[in-house]
Amino acid sequence: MALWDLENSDCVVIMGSNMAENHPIAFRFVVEAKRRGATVIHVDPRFTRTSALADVYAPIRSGSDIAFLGGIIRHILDNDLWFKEWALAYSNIANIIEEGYVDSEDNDGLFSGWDAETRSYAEATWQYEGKTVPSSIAEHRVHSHEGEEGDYQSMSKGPPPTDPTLQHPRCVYQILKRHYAKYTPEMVERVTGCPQATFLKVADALARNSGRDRTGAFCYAVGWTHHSTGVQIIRAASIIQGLLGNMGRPGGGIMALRGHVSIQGSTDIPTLYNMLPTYLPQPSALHDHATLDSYLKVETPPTGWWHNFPKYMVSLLKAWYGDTATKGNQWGYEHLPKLTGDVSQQPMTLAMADGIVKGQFIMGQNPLIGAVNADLVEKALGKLDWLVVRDFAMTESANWWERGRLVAKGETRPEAIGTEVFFLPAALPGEKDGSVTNTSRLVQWHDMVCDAPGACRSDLWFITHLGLRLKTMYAASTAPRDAAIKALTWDYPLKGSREEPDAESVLKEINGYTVSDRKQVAKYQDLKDDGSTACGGWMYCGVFPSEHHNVARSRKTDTSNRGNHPGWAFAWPSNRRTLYNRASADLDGKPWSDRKKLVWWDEAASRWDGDDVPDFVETKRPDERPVWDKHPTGMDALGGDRPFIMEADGHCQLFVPTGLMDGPLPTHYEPIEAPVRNPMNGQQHNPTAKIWDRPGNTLHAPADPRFPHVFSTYRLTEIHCGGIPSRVMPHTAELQPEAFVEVSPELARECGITHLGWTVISTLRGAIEVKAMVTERVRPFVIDGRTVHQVGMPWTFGREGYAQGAVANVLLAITGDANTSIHTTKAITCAIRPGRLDETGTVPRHAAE
Amino acid sequence: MPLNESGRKALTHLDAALAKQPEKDGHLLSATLTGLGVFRDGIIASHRETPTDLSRLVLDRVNGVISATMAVQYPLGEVPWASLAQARGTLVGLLDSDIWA
Repeated sequence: MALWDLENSDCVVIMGSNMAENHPIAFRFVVEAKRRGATVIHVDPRFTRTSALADVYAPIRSGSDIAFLGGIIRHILDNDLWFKEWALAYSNIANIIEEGYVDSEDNDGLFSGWDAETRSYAEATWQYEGKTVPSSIAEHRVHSHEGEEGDYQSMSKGPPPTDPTLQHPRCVYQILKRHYAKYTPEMVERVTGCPQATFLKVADALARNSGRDRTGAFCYAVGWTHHSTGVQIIRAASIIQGLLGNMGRPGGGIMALRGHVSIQGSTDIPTLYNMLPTYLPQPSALHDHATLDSYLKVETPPTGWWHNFPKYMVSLLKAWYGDTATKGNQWGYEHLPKLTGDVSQQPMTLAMADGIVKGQFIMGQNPLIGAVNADLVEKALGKLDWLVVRDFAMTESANWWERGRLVAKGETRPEAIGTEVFFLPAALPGEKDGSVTNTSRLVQWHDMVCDAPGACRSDLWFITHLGLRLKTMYAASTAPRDAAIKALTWDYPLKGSREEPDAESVLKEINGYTVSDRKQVAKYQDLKDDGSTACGGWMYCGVFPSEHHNVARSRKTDTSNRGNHPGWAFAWPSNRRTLYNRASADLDGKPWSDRKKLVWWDEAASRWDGDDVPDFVETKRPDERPVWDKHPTGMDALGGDRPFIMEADGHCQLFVPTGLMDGPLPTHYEPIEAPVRNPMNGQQHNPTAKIWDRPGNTLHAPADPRFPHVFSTYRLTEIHCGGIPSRVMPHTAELQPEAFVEVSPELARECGITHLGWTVISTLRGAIEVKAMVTERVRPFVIDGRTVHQVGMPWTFGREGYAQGAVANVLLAITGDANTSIHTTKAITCAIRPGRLDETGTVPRHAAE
Repeated sequence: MPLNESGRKALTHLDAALAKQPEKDGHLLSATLTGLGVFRDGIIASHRETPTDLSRLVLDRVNGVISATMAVQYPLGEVPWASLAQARGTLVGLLDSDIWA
């Protein structure tokens, strides 16, 4: 959903985010929704400015989100509060699952398909009965093997079996009811610490504000993703929204608040290791991906929109490898590196420590502040041969060899570190052209205001000239390993005496063009898989539809009072503001209500129309149905009543048959480090979570009495991201001049901590000293009958700039969510005591013991 | 120290890690990777001093063994033990060859 669409919501639940402080621009739409009468709810361990502006504040212990959301699902189902017409038509609630399916509630926390030796799941029993369901192509898709197993074409041979009466014991509705039966208000309170009455207020407000005439939205940030169950927390919200019909409709949806201005853009045109631009899967050496044909065969879903995948893939290869990409050489497919394992940031840090990775570029990051287990990261950087850091001010990640924690503690000396560090000055946003893609998928262009001073250059300048030098270096090479660099198209025009690359030429390439005449492609529907089109990212097609038309520059005010702002920049795909908006109309194509209308079927014109660009085949009638005798593929296999076109069956996936590492339904597991045993089942933590146990990265056992408190990290309005941009600015630094830890008065009394007094916080990874802020913003929880204290501190401080303080991430461990490898920053355990570190600033007494 | 000695040490750790499968011992795999890293760095240094087709080939092979070990230490989905066993064969072949003489 679009940020501004929040003002159309009748109920906004903010959970896993302190939106008012960390996304203040977006929060104005919540304020506007409230002004229009919406109920605003904040669910969070800590009372913040977001809580202060909410109608309901529900406190929960960090890491217990699925217990809370599962309780809402149970409440909706048990009280028959779901939007039946919507969910029966548009979700897989009536689908029947394979006979061999065993739910985690009947197997002590484990789903069927669990292999204890490999600690992974096989998905065969999670499928629709008799089918092999392709997962939607998305980040991390190459984990699953459905294209190589089962009957991958089965979805084009007929519809999956369903029971519209919802009586079949293995239909999704019945499975959901059994799965969440245990998530009673009493259990929610026991696990989360949230009083039952408060929980019920939230559940009722959500349900009351959903249906034909009303919609509700969830907003989340890394307070959901930074857990070992992060993906499943978001899944739990999607089940709620799928039951309540809050998807594809004005004011309905799940708003993923991205952490930085262009984090969305860096996922779309990815800096991630396992995706090609716009979510195409990176080939893997461990799958049947040896040739382009085999890769396309096993990765192309037979049904749904993603059946067009080959067009996007071949067009991408043509954009990258130009004239050298021919049908005879698989359009250059062999140049693509094939994955062998997880090479995301955390494993690569460990690989540096092992001496495997020898060099690193750091751009737009400050990992000695932002990455977890900061001391281990610092040790790893010390094993490199070379390190290049580009930033506009000195960062902790560039001068650690001289001023780092390990040097300060006497654990190493600058002369003992062999890493050659290059610090290169970077340009500020106003000193370069370019685009940012924000959380609404909105691509917005900005122009350079003035030249960067001295030797400061844009990232685009650096990457472009690095690429040119590499191409020169390998120009004479005949080695196959160098062929990719030689083949790469790298012809961006250079401007002025600084030879700054033309940023718009990059966006034009991302948009795509026809190869024969180099004319811009206007829409992704025009892309081909025969080599006649080139496109650097199919979802961005339309952002630069003709030679001189950069739609991302557009700044037309919406005077229609419809609130979709179609003339403001470009939202991918197709300048569409709300995804799956076919769901805003009923089975006949009519809006569910006048108040919540968005797109509709225009019978006279025989096409979909509305206040947004319809997310559907424009001329597909609502009553059109697949002709199964013909084994239809692609969109022909989806009827006119299937809005969720990126899924193989066009349905909202309440139950996920394929594509998740940790089960088809969200289940409460405790965080990897927790102060209590799991009250809900025998699995203490997510059994598929990524854990790398090694010296320097030791984890706390469950309920370890040495580390009895929950520790969480967060950001501040005044100190942004990795800290440097605002810590070096006097006017922001003075607003938050030093680090602090928030402690409840009860814990302060128990430990002898005083307001503004020094404390030492410790884990088995490290210890830090920081001043206490004793505040009632954090409250003790009663969890499973015992008191659990939670403390929290900002992670954005460091030793550089005017505002200095302890690095919170020293305390954290390197672990990962099973699906995304994302670290846990929101729920670990710790010890806290009054006082300061000893002279060496090293490990506190209990850890040394 | 002879160039291949670090490779022998890595092999010892690798064999211990393979003997424990399907349990994945992160400490043993880390030790294997450290040994392989030292082995590879020695080969790189030698190749830079006197580049030959053979030293380049050896480097490519060792890099392959490292990739297979990394794939087990940091898997995407199921753990590819079979690839690691195959890589062990490559490593043994390299260490037992007469190129180190």
